[in-house]
Amino acid sequence: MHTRSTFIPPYILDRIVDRGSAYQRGCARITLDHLHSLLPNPGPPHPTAIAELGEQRTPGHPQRRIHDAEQRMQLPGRQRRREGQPATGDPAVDEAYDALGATYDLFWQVFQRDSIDDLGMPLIGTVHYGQGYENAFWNGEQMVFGDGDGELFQRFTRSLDVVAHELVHGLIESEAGLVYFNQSGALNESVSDVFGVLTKQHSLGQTAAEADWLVGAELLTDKVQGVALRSMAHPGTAYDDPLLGRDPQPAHMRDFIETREDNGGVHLNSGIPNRAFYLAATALGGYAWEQAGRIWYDTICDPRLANDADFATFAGLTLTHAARMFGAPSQQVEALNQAWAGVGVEPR
Amino acid sequence: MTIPELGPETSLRLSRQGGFAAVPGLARPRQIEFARCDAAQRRGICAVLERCLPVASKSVGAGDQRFYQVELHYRREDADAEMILQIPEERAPRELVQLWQDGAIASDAP
Repeated sequence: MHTRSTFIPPYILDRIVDRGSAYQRGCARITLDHLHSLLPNPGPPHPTAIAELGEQRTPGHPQRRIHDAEQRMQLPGRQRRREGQPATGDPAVDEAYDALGATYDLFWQVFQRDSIDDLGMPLIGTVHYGQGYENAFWNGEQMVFGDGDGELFQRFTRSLDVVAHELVHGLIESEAGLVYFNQSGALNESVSDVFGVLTKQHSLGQTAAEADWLVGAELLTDKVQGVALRSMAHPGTAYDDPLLGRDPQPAHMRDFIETREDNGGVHLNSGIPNRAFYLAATALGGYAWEQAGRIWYDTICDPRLANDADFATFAGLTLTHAARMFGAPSQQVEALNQAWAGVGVEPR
Repeated sequence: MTIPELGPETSLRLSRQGGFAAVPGLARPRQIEFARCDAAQRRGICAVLERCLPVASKSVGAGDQRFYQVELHYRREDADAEMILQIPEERAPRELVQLWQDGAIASDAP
């Protein structure tokens, strides 16, 4: 017996349901409730064998290893550049190396944190993953970057904030372990965006007022009608394109999306805490990593932050840390109160 | 877990979700109505779903990893029923990816 291919009619390539009907929202709620109890905490990152090759800890200095998947989907791939080695001339390899270094520098210089786990964990990245692969991710051990399809997306190492975003997923697993589902998942995504853009601002020496607050601005090709993948300042406005669709992120709780897609909309509802951070940082002025960034960092490192925290709980803890650091009342606490109110979140 | 008995009233929605670039246009949901398929095509779809069962997981997508979501709507004991499978991208059977991408399945040749 041999097999042949057959095509299933009809092709219905409908759009994602981003704001479902009352019925759809009801279905989503039932499904999400069901799934919620089954989701485990991913746990802290676990170094791979390649991460344990007898490296000595070097606080203040990253240990980077950039690998090349050579368009296959096997990790980590062939090693192309180790710490201290000169540039290879391959833009993806060198961008990943530089961006991981810039991310390490932000966390070391501002928060005195030694890498993902604060124990000097080597920063391992693989580039040229897959063929035309339009994604970047953290897999619990390392960061992975695709080259993009060339039509809509360029290589994912082009954006410093994207590389940093993926590293921060590892950091969050080391600290709060925010479960990647519903509001805690959206917080996981938002915190990764926050420190992604802070890495870029820190690297460029930009103040909150000078920054563009865009995520993935360098990824989209000229053919796409859009400026980035997300906007922290104005969620929902990053792109509006015939092929990509329209940026579906809400900027306020009144537009919160209940959905069964994307683990309960983790990449959608992250727009709400993203804008809260933007509002707080721009109200405080100066370098965003010095005050707002510090408050957010201490919040995700606080053991009191439950791994299934919702927006209100997270907001409440940011206020606790702002009051501890700057006093209550203080300009910082007031700015935070205004920021959370500005996105419709009532801190708990 | 097993694939339930799927009658002609079954519909299946297959999409790819998650990822750093979780934009609407990349999900490309595919809706398949069993009523529009012949018996061999239905068997082929069920075979794909059977292959997904061992790699399906309730915990997918963390850290921007993409995954496939299969939503089955079917009738069971005269009532509407639903089954959802989530399959991490790196563990997805080739046949599932082909079904999502091209609407194609392998079926027994006559």
